[in-house]
Amino acid sequence: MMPYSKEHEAYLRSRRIHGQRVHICRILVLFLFLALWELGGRLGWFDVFILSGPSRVLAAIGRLWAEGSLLLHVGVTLYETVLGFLLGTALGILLAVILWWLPFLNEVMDPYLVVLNALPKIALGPVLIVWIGAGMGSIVVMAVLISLVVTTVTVLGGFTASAEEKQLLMRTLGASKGQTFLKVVLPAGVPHMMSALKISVGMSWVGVIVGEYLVSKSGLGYLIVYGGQVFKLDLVMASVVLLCLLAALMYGAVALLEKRFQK
Amino acid sequence: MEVALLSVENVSIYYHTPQGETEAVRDLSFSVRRGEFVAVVGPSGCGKTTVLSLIMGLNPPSKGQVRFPQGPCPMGYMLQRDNLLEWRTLERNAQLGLEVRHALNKETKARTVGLLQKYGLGDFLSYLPGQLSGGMRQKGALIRTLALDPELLLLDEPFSALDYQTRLTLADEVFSIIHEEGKTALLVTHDIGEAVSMADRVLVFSDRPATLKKEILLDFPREMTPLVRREQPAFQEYFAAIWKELEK
Repeated sequence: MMPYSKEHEAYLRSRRIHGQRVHICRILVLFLFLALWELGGRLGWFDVFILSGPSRVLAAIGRLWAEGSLLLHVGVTLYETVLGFLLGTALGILLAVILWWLPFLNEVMDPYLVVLNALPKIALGPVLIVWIGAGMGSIVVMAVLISLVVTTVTVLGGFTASAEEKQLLMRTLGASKGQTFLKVVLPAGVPHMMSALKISVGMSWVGVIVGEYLVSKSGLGYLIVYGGQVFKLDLVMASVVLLCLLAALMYGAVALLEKRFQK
Repeated sequence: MEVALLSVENVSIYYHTPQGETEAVRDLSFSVRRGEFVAVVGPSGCGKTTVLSLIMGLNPPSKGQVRFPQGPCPMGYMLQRDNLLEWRTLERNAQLGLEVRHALNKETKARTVGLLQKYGLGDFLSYLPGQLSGGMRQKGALIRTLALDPELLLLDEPFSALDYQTRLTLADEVFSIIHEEGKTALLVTHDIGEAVSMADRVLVFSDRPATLKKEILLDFPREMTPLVRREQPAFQEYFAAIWKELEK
């Protein structure tokens, strides 16, 4: 390989430095936030009973761990979310495939899909509890409902927009509808499916937490509601911090999946 | 007289939209002989593409008929844009038609690779379309069509999405490929120069509804390529004649 010119080397160096700067500043922001939160409490700028603090959050997590219930709560919530996410995405994509395949049905269902998409699914919470019972079932169904419709709408949009001319090409080659779907529409829809996955990861968390607010005896959503009711704000904050970590992890996993598909 | 390969007989085509009925083609008749290169020129939106999809069997005529007097004729369609699938390598793109028709085997695979190599794409078999130039992509699209070994090639403004220089050189290459492979071709274009430089015969269509206004036989030596043709005095004369016909 040709050695780079001085100018190009300088360019590469400045890019590297820029990247490092962004990285350092990101960490600094987090550190500053935690420091202010902790210090503010200790110096009496605000009441730690209301706003808690990093050390109190850590202590709360430590207590949960000591009680042996930390893994239970995290596990329950994670299990519900992953299940809701997978079911919602799978059903959503399946529905999109069916609607793409049957344009007449698609046209008929279109206004209903629009209304379902606009409807705050949370409103169905009480109904679900009556229908399914106060338990994990209702929570998972809530997560499925929230991620399902948005997945269907996003993926279907990708399918129908994907390259009408490429579909014409397939017709000139004599392809059947199934072949056109498998060889053109589905692969062309992968980016849309990936963005649907990213949206529905967030949606499943919303569904699960709301579900847990309404009915649950364990899980992070339960801890938040319980902590709020008995004024243990440390517990509430600890649960929120744990949620942040879990949601970021799950989003990261989906982003990783997307990268693999883009290759 | 030799029996035609394709014969379009008194065809009229109407388009139906909620806004009303449009007559796209009116009482159109022409034929194409085996091995011939026929170009259709006409103003934009005059229904040239409609005629190609008619021949391909993608939309039926309202009146009249399309016949293949020598029996069923395998056809290949080349679109304005290459439409190579971005996630497939050039080689697998070229095999798409074979896959669709369940005709992909060692022999047809080797033939397709052979075509790619013969026409200068041999080094790019494992490249994705995004890594190829516009001209190479369109040539890949032509080979995707040729892989099915069609008798008649329907070319729908295949060069119009390319820059001028690529257009000229690619026209030259496509011309040679079609002659070398012994194909019959029907080229639709709005570019008079393209038609005159490639075809044996030019059909001039009128504005919508498309009718056949004039048929012009081009008298160039068969082996003369488009770029050489463009330098002939006769080229300018044919160009002017067709121009005048379109102006009328």
